[in-house]
Amino acid sequence: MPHDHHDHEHDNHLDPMDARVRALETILTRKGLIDPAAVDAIIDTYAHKVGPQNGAAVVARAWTDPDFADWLRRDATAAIAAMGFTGRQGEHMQAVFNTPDQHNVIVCTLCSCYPWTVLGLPPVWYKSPAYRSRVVLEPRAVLAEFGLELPTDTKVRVWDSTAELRYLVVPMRPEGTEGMGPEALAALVTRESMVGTGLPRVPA
Amino acid sequence: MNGPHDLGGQMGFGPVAPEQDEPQYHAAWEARAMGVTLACGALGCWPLDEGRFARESLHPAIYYNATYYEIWIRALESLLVKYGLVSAGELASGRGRSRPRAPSATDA
Repeated sequence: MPHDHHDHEHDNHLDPMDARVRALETILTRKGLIDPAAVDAIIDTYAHKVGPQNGAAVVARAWTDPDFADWLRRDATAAIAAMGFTGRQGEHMQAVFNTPDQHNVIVCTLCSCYPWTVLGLPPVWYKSPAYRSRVVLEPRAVLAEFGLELPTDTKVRVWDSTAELRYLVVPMRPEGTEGMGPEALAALVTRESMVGTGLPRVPA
Repeated sequence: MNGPHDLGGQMGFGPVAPEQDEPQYHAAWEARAMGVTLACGALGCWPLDEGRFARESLHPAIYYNATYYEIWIRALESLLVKYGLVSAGELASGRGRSRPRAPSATDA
């Protein structure tokens, strides 16, 4: 498979999970239940086609196109689908817009529900018990662990995702970006800023 | 039902440790685990909710000790056995075949 630069193929160095997954894939392939080429294609899709660059394009368009922003606010599922980002784990979307008064953060306390179509696969910290348990209990302390300190008069609202409904945080457009086009703006939009554990980059 | 997965508001898991420039996977097998799980989901034997329930039904001692994709694989194995697609014996022998072996002359 591509992108496994750190790994090697010597059987005598397999860790137990490596051996377990290889064995399972072999059994399923022999039985004709899966095709390793299909597994490769799935991995490739989430490596190259589905990722936070999609969400960044949505946010940048919302920053530059008021009609689109309004649509995104009213019907995020349709507005995002209109940009071509559809599919698994993004069937029902809600966009939550940050304002000076309210900062939004998303979590899935029960597992790892995450808007795959716009953010790709979730990072390890999003799936970790530490984040899932605590961001609903003391969000400001958790945000501080990401280096994010918000003004005390900014309300923090935490949205707990479900299997049916996933959220995308639309961060505030940074100051000093007047005149920038959607493409340049998208480069400022980080994954963390769309989860709410960070803010967009500011232009250099 | 509640269970080990129902983590909102629980205490004692320590600080969040975000990783700078986190790679998509932390081992090659994690990518295969993701792809194999989605490919098996496409067989259409169980809905997504049942896949989730299989993960939530893992014993708490296993759930809290396992990495994310280990949870996926354990749940997938249980579903494959439940739906008769793979037997427990096949899983056990498959794993047995993958035990470390001594390097041979054919190893480059």
